[in-house]
Amino acid sequence: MLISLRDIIKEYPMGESSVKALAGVSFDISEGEFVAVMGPSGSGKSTLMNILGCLDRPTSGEYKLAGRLVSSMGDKELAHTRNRDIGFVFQAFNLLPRLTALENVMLPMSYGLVPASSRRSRAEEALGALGLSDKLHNKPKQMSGGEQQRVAIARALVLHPKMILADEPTGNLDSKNSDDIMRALSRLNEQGRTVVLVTHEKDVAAYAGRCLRFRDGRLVGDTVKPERGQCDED
Amino acid sequence: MKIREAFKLAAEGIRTNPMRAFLTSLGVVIGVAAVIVIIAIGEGARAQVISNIESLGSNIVYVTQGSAKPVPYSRQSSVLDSSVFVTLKGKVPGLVGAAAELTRGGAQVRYEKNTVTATVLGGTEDYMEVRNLELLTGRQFTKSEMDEGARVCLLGSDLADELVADGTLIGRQVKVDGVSYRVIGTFSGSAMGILRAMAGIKLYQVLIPLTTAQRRITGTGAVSSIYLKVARAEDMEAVKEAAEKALIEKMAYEENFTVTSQADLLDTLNTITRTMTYLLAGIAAVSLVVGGIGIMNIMLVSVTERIKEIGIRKALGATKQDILGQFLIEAVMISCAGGAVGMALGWSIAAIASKIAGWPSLVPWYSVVLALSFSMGIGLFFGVYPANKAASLQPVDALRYE
Repeated sequence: MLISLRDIIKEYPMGESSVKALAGVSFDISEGEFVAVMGPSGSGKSTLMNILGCLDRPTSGEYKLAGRLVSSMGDKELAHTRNRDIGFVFQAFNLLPRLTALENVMLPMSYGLVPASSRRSRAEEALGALGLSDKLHNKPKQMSGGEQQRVAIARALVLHPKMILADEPTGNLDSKNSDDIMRALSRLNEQGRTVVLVTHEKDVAAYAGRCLRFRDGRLVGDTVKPERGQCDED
Repeated sequence: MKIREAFKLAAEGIRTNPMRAFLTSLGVVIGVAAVIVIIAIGEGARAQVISNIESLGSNIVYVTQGSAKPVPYSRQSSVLDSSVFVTLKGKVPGLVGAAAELTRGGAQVRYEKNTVTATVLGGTEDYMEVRNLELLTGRQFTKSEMDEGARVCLLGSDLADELVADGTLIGRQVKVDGVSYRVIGTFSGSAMGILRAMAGIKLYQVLIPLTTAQRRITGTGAVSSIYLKVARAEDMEAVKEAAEKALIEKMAYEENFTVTSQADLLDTLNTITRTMTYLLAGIAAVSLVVGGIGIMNIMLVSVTERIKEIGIRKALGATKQDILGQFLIEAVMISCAGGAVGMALGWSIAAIASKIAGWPSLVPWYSVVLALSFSMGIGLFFGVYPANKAASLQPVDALRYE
């Protein structure tokens, strides 16, 4: 099991009382799955995303990633886990505006254990795989939204992480670019990479092989579909 | 992340906003420049004063009446007089010359209608030679003038200029406190003279034979000071000790005298000027602290501006130490660059100032080391808080920041 969540609770203090963004969530994801996490805003899917990505800690509960207990890790270990095991794709792309496409893709490697000599070729390779060989030296501002998101995907996979976490990756894109990005993620999944996708768009979720639905901080639906199709609404 | 990469990253942060980095470092530039200029000028002035004093002959031992040590009243009867001088001259080895002096300030020197208040110096034969006074015109006292207490005098150059605007006074009679003296020459120089000349103060002095001075001024054989000129600098301490021993014997074991050397005076002067220099440099260093606060201020702004960037970096695997290093190195780089520029600026200002003032410019190595290590320390000290603030951001909060 790549991901194993047990009774995950996340509370945010609100004055005297507190608000439960996640009220006891348990599920597993195996290696190689393509999972869509769906739900209306306020359902807790973003909070779940942050916890899965080791960007935040649960208030209580157990989170195991690749057999290691994340909830007991220190800051440094969490940083290494983010670096090695997780590749992020954000809605707002989150590229560093001062750096070129190539430098952005090389960034995770500078925090990892990749020898400086091989970084450039690995980044070029990753960008090439996403059809961006001619944009290596462009800054984010000189690229379209779709291109920027493809750079972000190249950055996410350059260290061969165990899973790709995509948070509304098509939220800022038109439908054509959205299709491009989703096809790229599908291709990654076909190559064996685990992909977890947070979205509220049904057509986007349709690319996934499994759909987790959330409402008010609880998991309300877990549909595994052998065939690709609509992610069922309630 | 390796150190070299961390430096590259920090340099990039500075390059993004070079104008701001420059303005930020300006406080350190000014602070370091001020410290270096003050130390350079202070050291230069000190060296100048000391070389002036040394040019007067540094191998002199002074004997004066009175002691810094407490002496019982009953034992304060003995005085320095001509016989003490003769004893010292005879008993102390290693001398190339010795002179006794009797001084009296506030004497009225008159020539025709001009009256000037001056110091009367009564001196022995070797007096001018021992005290490095230079004969400008005329001649020195003869042996017989010395012995008989003749009413002849030499005028200090400032006094001569004051008494008569142009022309010479040699051969003329001047009145010192109502008594007529024949002018036989003029002279210049004296340790006090140079110090005063640097401060723009004139020094009026008239030199007469010691015997004359004793007869006219005190009516006794007393002298004010005795100067012993030592042949070799290494012998200074030995001569001091020998003089003290001879004095104790001669003056019936009363220690009612003080023996000092030029070296002691130089030490005192050194201490005074050094203290002044450090004091001023310390005041200038306050501006370095102000500069450091400026760096902290801008680094805090820079952290706030880059919260999103910090979030992204953390999401990609940057540890707390990576972020801390990035911002700390940036602060130290700004501050060190400021220190280097300030050093160059201070050096140039010191060079120009010394050219204008006409004394040697000395930038001692320690001021350079001090300024650079100080600016580095300031970068570290004032960079820690903002850098730590950046490093402690939670990745989820930083990413969400817009």
